[in-house]
Amino acid sequence: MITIKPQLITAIAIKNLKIKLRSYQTYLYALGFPVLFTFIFYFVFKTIEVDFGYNVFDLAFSSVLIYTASFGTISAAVSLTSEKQLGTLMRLDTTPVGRARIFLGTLLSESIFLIIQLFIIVLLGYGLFQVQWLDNDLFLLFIGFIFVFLFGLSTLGIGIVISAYAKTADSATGLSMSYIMPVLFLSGILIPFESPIVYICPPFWANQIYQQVVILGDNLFLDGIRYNSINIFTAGYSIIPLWVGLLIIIGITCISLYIGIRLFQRKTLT
Amino acid sequence: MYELPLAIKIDNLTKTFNNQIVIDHLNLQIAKKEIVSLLGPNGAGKSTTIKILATLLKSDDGTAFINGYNIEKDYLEVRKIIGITPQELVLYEELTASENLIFFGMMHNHSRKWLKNEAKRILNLLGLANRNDKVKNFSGGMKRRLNLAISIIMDIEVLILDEPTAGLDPQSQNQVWDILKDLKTKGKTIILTTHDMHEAEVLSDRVFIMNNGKIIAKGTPRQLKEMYSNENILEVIFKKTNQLEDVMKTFQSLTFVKNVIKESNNKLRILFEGNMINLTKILNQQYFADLTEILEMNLRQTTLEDVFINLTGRELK
Repeated sequence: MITIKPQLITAIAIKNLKIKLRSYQTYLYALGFPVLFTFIFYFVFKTIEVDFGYNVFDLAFSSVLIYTASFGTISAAVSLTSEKQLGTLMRLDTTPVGRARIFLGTLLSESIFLIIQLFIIVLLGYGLFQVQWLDNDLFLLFIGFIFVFLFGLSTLGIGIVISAYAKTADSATGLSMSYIMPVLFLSGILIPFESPIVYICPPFWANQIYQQVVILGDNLFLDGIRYNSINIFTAGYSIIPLWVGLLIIIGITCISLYIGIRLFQRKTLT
Repeated sequence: MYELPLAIKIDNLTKTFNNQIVIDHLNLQIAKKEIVSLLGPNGAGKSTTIKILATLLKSDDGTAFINGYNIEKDYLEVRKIIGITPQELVLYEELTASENLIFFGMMHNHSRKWLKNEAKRILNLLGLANRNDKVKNFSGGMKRRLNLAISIIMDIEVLILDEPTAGLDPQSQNQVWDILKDLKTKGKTIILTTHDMHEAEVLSDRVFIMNNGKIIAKGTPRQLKEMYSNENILEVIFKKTNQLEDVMKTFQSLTFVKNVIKESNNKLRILFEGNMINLTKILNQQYFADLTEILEMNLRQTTLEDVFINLTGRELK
């Protein structure tokens, strides 16, 4: 059993954040694209009215948040692959720090970065573009934020899986994009897609929970999933309760982190 | 735990990759406060030995102890007392020199306050004190010095350096040598691999020459040279290249000639035993009759490089 030693984990997290914040690619992928999507969604959907005084942009904004959180995959994949590629992981392996603390430090920095990233997009949407939600209840928004963050953690696990196989940071980015984009499109959150395939895509669950909780004020335990990729107000309830979706996200987070770390260890320890 | 004043003890270490033996029952003992050079041609097993000592690779058989700790069973303890400077430049390029040093120092549980002062001192020592920009803007030599500085700031007992001065200019190389000598006076044990024989001679208390995964010679640089002290070397550069094979055969037939090595198309290195009489016998050969056919001739004593080449051969590995 290892001792936690928070100062070591914090030092690794701070180092990772410094490296991330000093690299232009970070701004391009983690903020540039989500901001661009927000602008595009705003100008395309703001004028299309739906029910109860909402417009399509109000409903589609959760997709931008999910899209933003998905970039955790690239972020984690590039971070760990770079450590491998540069040889710094090998050098750290000769110090008493240990792999467990390296992973904890990486997860901490990625989580902090994810929060900053989501917070900026939330400010942009709810602050600048006046996205509406139920009763302007900040508590609902906070709960929604937690769900998206939780989904973001699951994307980190996928990133770690990718870093186990990627040889260079560039290939890690390529492999991550090859995962993120198809899954986002198949989940039906960026473009309408009516198919059972959506149920196997984690972004679908994150988007449903966010919309039902933040826009409809649904209770996780009482209501079922209301799936209709075009208009949530006109959708009927399915028999699947919302908490199952949450459980799926938590499950994917735990499984992907476990598999990712195991694979990374197997591929990099001799 | 060993009670001997040994820093490193390697017992019958063996490692194979793809059924090829890379380290073959290696035995080695290094005393505390000793600087030891590990020499050998490419593929001799130096880097693999270093990786095993640094707990990065597991051996197939045999074991090693660092300051009495078994490198496999007590690897966590071993990691507290070793520091490795890899051949590659292993640095965070987006961080500054000082940030790199403080980060790696923290991984060895030193306090940030102590590390800040120590980083200043070491960067000053290595001529990097005035660089506050990212490491990616540094020259190759500066990065190499920083690569070494990381091991120094860790303030550990055993330093493992894989070609620490490769690619450095002579000034920087001297500076690094002074730092390593200073570390020895502070009680550190240093094991280094190098292809620079002069470096091995200047720095090392003892030299180990490896070939095919085994130690084939060991001793102080002086002891190794004395193995061939009775030999002299005559280097000859001929104007023409067409007769070189005949020349070699002629010299090889002389009983006092130990070896004739073809250095290049027109250059021979003749190792011969003994004295001026034997030299005269060589110079009396027909090939030296017309001195206008000789571009250059140089008589010298054995160096560590000659010992190395004699033991490991000239062919590329």
